[in-house]
Order: sequence, then structure tokens, then C-alpha cells
Amino acid sequence: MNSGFGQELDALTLERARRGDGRAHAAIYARYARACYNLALRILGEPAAAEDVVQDVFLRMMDTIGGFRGDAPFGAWLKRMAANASIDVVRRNRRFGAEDPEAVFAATADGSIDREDAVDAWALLMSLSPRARAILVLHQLEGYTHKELADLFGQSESYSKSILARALKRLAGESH
Amino acid sequence: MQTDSTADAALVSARLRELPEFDPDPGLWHRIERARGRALRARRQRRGWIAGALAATLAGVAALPLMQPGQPSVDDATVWQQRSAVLESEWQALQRAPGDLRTRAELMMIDKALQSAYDRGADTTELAPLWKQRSEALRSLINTSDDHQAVAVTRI
Repeated sequence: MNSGFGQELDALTLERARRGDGRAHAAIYARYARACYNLALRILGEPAAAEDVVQDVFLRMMDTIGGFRGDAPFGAWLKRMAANASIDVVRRNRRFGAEDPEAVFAATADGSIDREDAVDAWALLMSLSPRARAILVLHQLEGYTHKELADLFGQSESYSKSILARALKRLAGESH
Repeated sequence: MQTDSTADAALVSARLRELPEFDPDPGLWHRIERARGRALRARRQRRGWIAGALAATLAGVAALPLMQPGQPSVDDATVWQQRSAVLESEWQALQRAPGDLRTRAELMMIDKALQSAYDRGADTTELAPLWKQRSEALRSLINTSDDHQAVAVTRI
């Protein structure tokens, strides 16, 4: 069963939500909150920060769903809001790391993962900085293009390509 | 090199698909609902303030003409007195004929009432209407004077 952003939202719930129906908003939350939370958590690595993102996304969703025209699936629309909100946190908050690609990897040295942890996908992902995780997760799992990532980060495409290549090489090395 | 990076990407993607999924705190939706309630209340309050400020501004704009020098408020004796003085100068500058006798008589009565009011030490609530009447009488004399009509015809 698909529990992510790919789930469809029925037209009736969508229409009720557009009219500000609280029960429809709750139904949308029940359906997509987990996907939002996991996307934010994978990028930010902190449950409290991820919950803040979920709150921000759903508050924004309730404010803007009236203008949702249905050009894209509802889940894709919500995923974009969750990605934007997560990256906003990364960009705003210094503790989530520097912008410079060199600095992104300097903070976490190669070979810092124990052999036992290397089998744990979560530990592998968390060995990267939030910025590198965001690019890796959005590109490899959520299907974002480098153009979209460049727009999200306000950087060039070569910026996300550079970080992604280094992240992939790093994690592949740890996985062998 | 390309093959290496493609292999890295495939390997890492396979590992990322193993990532566990977590559930958010069960109380998160209630926190969101409360935050939503606060935001809506704040928005309603802001709208109320804006509507109040708008109403006050509109009332101020509507009251503006009443505060213009040409239309002084009824209880402002000083303004009507000054206006009366200006009109009297204007009327005297135009005056060649005696003008409307009835209005001149009215003007004399108003002057007498004003003098009486000042002698009694009357306050502005009594003086202002008298000065207003005097201004209106003077305006009437100016409008009916021969010179004013001649000027009006010339302007046409």
C-alpha cells in the first residue's frame, strides 16, 4: 500500500477542504502527514524540527488549498511544500550547515561511520550534512531534477550536481 | 567514471529504499489545529482593526468638508466672525447702490443683536449663529448688488 505522497486524494475531500471544512483538513493530514514528516526528518535529522515543518506545511495547506487548481496531483503539490519548508529551515539555520560544497563535506569526515552502522541506511544518511541529505533524498528518492534543486537552493545546477556526486561516492564507499 | 557514478547511484538508491519510516507525534494534529485557531482569531482581529481604521478614515474624510474655511462649523464664532469681516469688505468694495433694503435692515438687526449679546457677555453658542446670519446677509447683499451682477455678466 502506498503511504507516501503518491496517494490520491478523492475529489469530495478536496472540494470540502477547499471550502475550509476542518474534517476534510484532518483527513488530508491523516493521509499525508507521515510522508511529510519522513521527508522532513530525512533532511533535517531532528524529530522536533521535522514536526515544525509538518505544522508549517499543513497550516500553509489550509490557507492555500482554495487556490489549488489541480494541475498536478495533490500529493505532488504537498510534497513541494514540504520540500520547500525543509530547505527553508536548512537555509535559515546555521546549525544545519554551510552552503559551500567543500564545507558541506568537511564537517563529516570520510570513514566516520562504524562498520556496524554502515548496514543501517538511516545511520548512513545521517552521516551526511542536512544540505547533502536534502539533495540526495530529493534527487534519488523523490525524483527532483538538478534544475528544480538549483531553484530550491537558489544555486546553480552544478552546485547540486557537485554535492550529489560527492554524497553518492561517499555513501557508496561506506556501503561496500 | 560515468559507470562508477551510475553504480554508486544505484547502490545508494537501493540503500535509501531501506530507510525506515517513522510516525509523527500523535498530538501533532491537535497542535496544528490550535495554531490554526490562533491564526484565524488573529486574522479576524486584524480585519476588525483594519475595518475600524477604515471606518474612522472614511468618517474623517466625510467630515472634512465641514472643517473647510468656506463652511465653518456652527459653533465656531471666531471663524464666522472672520468670514463676516471678509464679506463686509467685499460688499463695501462693490457698493454703489444701496442694495436690497430688506437685507440691509436684516443686517442692522443682526448687528444690534450681536452688540446686545456681547454686552451680556454671551458665549460662543449664542454668538456663532449671529455671526453666521451676518455672513449670510452680507453674502446676499453682495450677490444682489449691481456691481456684482455686472461682474457676473462680464464673466459670462
